[in-house]
Amino acid sequence: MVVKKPRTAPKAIIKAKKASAMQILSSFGVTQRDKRAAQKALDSVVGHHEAASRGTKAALAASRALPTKKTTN
Amino acid sequence: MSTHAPQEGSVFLNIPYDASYQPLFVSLVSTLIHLGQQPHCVLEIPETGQGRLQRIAKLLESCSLSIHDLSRQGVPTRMNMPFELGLAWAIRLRDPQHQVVLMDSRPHRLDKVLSDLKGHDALIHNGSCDVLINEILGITQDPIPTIRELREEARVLRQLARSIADSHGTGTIFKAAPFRSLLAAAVHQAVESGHINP
Repeated sequence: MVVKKPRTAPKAIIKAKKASAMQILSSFGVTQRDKRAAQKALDSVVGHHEAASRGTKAALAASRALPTKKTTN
Repeated sequence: MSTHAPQEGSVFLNIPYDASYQPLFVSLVSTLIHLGQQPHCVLEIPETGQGRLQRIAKLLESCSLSIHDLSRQGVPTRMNMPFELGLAWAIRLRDPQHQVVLMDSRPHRLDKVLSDLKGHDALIHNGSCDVLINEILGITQDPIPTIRELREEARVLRQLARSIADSHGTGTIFKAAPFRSLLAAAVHQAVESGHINP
């Protein structure tokens, strides 16, 4: 008979929280220059990013069978 | 080592700094930020020579969790990662609040090469970004984003990482300035997706 050794794998040790951007950024000493460089990189792929976000939201909406946000013109 | 109160949500990343690991690193940073955590690593510590080890130890002590990826094994032998794991374990022995998470790319391998920690199961990512995200989510309490959202956000950040490295002219994200830009981009993404507050 094989006895399984007791597992000591980490359990739920990361407590997810809705932190604030400022809280996270200030802990790294991120400067305005870093933010600008990041924004530049974001802008260069922003079209792709938006398309990807739309794709993700649509896929999630479909998978959860939730109605997508209605728009009226 | 001096005593520093660990900051809840601060995560020290002990990972291999090589080109092939970059996608996994970016995925890890993305996932942690979307979960409201603050990833830290030695890239924040300037290469001034003197006192570097002391500052690595201080950074480790200031984090409530450290993640150690020991997947790079073989020749040439990489000593820094096992060494920093030893530092982290010393902190844990003194302060059990400090959590240590092991990662590898292959199951059961660490049991053989690091028998001192036998029984402490590692997270196994198989070298896959998606599996790594899944493993991190597996040790997370009350995650706000879903696995699909985290995977998609990480995929976008991996693309951004290449642009960031190019814009800095470093060709890699494993330098202080591009790393800070990567963090800023990840935070921006997490705010846009509503996973963290502005």
